[in-house]
Amino acid sequence: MTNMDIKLLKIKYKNIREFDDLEISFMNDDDQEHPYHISLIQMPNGTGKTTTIDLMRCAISGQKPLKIKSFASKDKSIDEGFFEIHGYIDNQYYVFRLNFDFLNEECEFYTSRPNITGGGMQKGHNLPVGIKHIVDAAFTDLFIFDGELSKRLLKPEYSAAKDAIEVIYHLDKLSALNNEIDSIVQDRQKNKMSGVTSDQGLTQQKTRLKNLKITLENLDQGKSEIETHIKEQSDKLIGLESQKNAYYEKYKDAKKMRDDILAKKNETLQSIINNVDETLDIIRMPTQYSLFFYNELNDLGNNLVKLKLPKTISTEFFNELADSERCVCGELIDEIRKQNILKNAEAYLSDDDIAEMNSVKKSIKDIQNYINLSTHMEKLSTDHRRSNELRQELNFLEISFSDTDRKMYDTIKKEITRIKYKIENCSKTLLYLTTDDKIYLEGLTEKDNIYLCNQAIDELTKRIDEATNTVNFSTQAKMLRSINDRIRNRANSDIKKQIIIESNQKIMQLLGTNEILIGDINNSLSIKDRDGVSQGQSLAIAYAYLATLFDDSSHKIPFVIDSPAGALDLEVRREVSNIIPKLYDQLVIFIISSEREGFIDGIEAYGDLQYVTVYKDRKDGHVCTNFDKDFFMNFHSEDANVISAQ
Amino acid sequence: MVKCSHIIDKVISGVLNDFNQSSSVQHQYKKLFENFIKNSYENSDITRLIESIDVGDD
Repeated sequence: MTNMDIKLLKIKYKNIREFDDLEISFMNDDDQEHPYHISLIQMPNGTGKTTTIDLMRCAISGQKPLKIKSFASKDKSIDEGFFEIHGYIDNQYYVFRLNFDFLNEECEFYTSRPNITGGGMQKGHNLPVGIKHIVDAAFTDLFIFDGELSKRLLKPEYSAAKDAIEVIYHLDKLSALNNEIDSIVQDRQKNKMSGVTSDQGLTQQKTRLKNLKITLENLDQGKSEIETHIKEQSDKLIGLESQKNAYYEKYKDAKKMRDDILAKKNETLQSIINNVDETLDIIRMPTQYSLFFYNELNDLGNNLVKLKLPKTISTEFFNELADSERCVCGELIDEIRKQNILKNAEAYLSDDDIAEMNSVKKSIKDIQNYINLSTHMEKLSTDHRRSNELRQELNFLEISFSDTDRKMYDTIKKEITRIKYKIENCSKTLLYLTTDDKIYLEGLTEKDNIYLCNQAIDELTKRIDEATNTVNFSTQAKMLRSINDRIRNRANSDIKKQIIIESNQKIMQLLGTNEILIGDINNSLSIKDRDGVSQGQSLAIAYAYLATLFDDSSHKIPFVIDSPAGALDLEVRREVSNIIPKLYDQLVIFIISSEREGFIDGIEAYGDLQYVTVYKDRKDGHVCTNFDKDFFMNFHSEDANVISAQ
Repeated sequence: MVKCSHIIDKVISGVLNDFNQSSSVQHQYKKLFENFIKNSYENSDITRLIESIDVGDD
């Protein structure tokens, strides 16, 4: 499984410290597709070795350097400079440039992808999206390596060893993923109308729904009881009405008269109903019941017909105005103004205006004739009077009954009145219980009205459904966080076991002994049965540890080392130089002349390597490069015009 | 292209099995983890994964 693949191709300096204009290529002249397996770069102390490594770290990670002035050209008249690193990332050519403005102590990243953008520089440190968030400062520190890291890997007060596992295996991202999960859950809870985010809240809502359903059952039962009661009373009423009619049956004459009176009463009632409808229609048209309004509107219609069309009026007005000496504003009207008035007059009229006016005229003309409302009112009054008279006639008829019959008849009438009152009250209660009419609903609650109760149940059910989803979502998110935590812990534990075994194999190869082995990885590397190791041994352990991490993670990453052999004795140097080329596909090694002994002997066995010497020219003081092996091998710091040690 | 290393892949499968998650959830999880590392994910991807998590009868 291949992961990230990075190859370094060259670095370029322009006006950086002693580097006026310099390029160090890691490319093999015979194979432009691949860099040398090993680039040995010999730089005496003081020629900018640490500067170069710092800048490489910045250019790859995108982290801006802190002390910008420390990179300024030695030539004080130069205010600007840059450092570039060229390389392949997943087989795509990339150039990262760090532009310096020494005067203002500012720097800016630029990126070029010649295959895609044609070589133009784009502002920003634009790593490929897929690895942008992986190759950060912490990750870069692991492969642009200095002796400090090897110390931190072994010191218990640092967590470099543990952090390296987290970074290379991206276990730190699981913590970031948990933060994202929290944020998504919070957003969902915030956006939901239910406001219910916990099991307890959900239980409360469910209890409320249960109570509402009981209320609805009670209301339905109440409705049913009232309807039954109304039905019973209505049946009783029919029986009483029948009993009441029976008395008339006993008195034939009275019955005949009663039938006549009732027929007339119905006729009068119908007349009232018809008259009320007509009267209401008239009241809706003011011109029909107000003679004053009718006359006034008719006069307006007649006047409008007599008036000339607005266009004519306006034309005359403008003609008269144009012929006047002065305008209405008092200004003199000369020939130019006169012509302008006549020319522009047309603009103040339009056919639409005329059409609207005509429409008004037509509407006025079409109004219906005046109807005297008092005629209708008088008729209503007469009918009402007649209706009362007929009711009195009916009462009078009952007087002809015998005393006993009249008593019974009165009792029945009273009972009918009482039952009618009861039915009316029950109907009113039923209306408030069942209505969905806004007028009646005012002041009612879900405890009094079936419609409101159903509405409350629907709304609460919706809220509970939503809340259930939110609560379930939170539970699922909680489990996902637990899964992430367990993966992180188990991965850490499994990786550590694996890394310890593989690192120890490499350490044995490097040091040629099984007495110095990694026993455990807590925050730092613990050495088995030993309190400490030498500086050289700690370097060897660090090489083995980091090589194992990168190897196992399947990333193809170059390894850049500063002073790989300084602290090692000759034997270990030979071992290290024999082993580390096997651990990495590309090695860029910065050394000083005193490190060559022992180290070069072992590394020379790997043919795919180049020798670069970076030194300060004795004559003009510029930093130069030499790619000759003999020059490299015979070079000594004292041969160059060495600047004071860093 | 960044992928989970073999060891992580194995751990993820093991833990998701412990939590009784289906192979479909395991696939979804690994894909999201890879995309999350590369920062090429949408919040909706995380939401979908959360909604796919089987919390069991409890």
